[in-house]
Amino acid sequence: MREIRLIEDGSNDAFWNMALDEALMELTPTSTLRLYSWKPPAISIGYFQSLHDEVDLERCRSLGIDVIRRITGGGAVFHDKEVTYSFIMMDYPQDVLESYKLICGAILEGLKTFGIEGEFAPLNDLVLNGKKFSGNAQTRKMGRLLQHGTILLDVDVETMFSILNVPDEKMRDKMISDVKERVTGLDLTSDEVRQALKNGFSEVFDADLVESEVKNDERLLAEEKAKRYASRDWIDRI
Amino acid sequence: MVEVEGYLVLEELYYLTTEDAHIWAKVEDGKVRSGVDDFGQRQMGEVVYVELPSVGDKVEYNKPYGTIESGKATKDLYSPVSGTITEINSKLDDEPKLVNDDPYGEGWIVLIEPSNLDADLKNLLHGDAAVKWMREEAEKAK
Repeated sequence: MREIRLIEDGSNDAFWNMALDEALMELTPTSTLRLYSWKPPAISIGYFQSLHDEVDLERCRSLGIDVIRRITGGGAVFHDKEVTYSFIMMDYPQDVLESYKLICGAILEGLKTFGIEGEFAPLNDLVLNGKKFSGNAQTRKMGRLLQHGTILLDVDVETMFSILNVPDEKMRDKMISDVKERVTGLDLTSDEVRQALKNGFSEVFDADLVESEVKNDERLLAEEKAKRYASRDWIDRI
Repeated sequence: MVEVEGYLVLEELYYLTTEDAHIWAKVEDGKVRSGVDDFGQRQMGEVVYVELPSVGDKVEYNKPYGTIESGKATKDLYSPVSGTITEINSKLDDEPKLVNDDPYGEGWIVLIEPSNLDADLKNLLHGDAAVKWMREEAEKAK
């Protein structure tokens, strides 16, 4: 049976969270699943997004919300009441859609063990009764794939929209009510979602999960990277 | 031009086949034009952003010089040869999908003045070898 390295992480700030995902992508010797959350809450934007178009920085500062740019694609995400995972693979489908299907399939399989029958909504979302509860994003570098994503436990749409810039202020109320209609948190505890993810990855990849600490070289690289993630040069890149 | 399992391979091109790079190179008057190959663009899906280097930037064989995004996934763009960027396809800023629509033509990404061309070309696949490799890639993707 194959092995997947499992890192059961706790709550960290945004800079450490994204830095450790990237450091693991570069250094981990095997497929690796990391489970974590965010403290303080954070808003992350995709690699190619414009910070000032997307985020009200003043408002984030006053609410104590971290702001970070990811190395992965996709849009802005408000990280608060959720379980976040990252998964690093060495041997993966080159087809982007197929790889999302495979990894998101593991999440869905795991949630079934808690009675939740979600569905994959291409390209990169998971839905329950038509409402999104998980968004996912990827990057591929030097023959390795990193996918990270969120499993929502609850959604504070008002706070989310108070820190996101919207193209037209008149649309803000409408957008809030739309998101309330289209997004949902799962009725599970954080521990249950973590267990579901472990069940699903183990089953779909036919692998034993082997719990592991972050190694010293990975920690040192993450510390370096965390400085870059916190720098204006990186966050304000676009 | 050869079609391998539905993917176009141009025999006059050189292909960078390390990991999942899927980069082509074309020698033109001593310079090297490069972009993403047909298989690569199809696996990525619709390209929505291309981050281009600047003219004058140094690039190295098989090292990333830029980033491309499709389907909420970013991917490094690798240089097929070492050298200096002499031209970039600025059209991709507004029309990144040219990489999908015409990967070997209008969707080119960079033009490079190579510094070690003969040695670098030996690391790239060409002609029958490129066709054989593409067949293996297509087989893996099934």
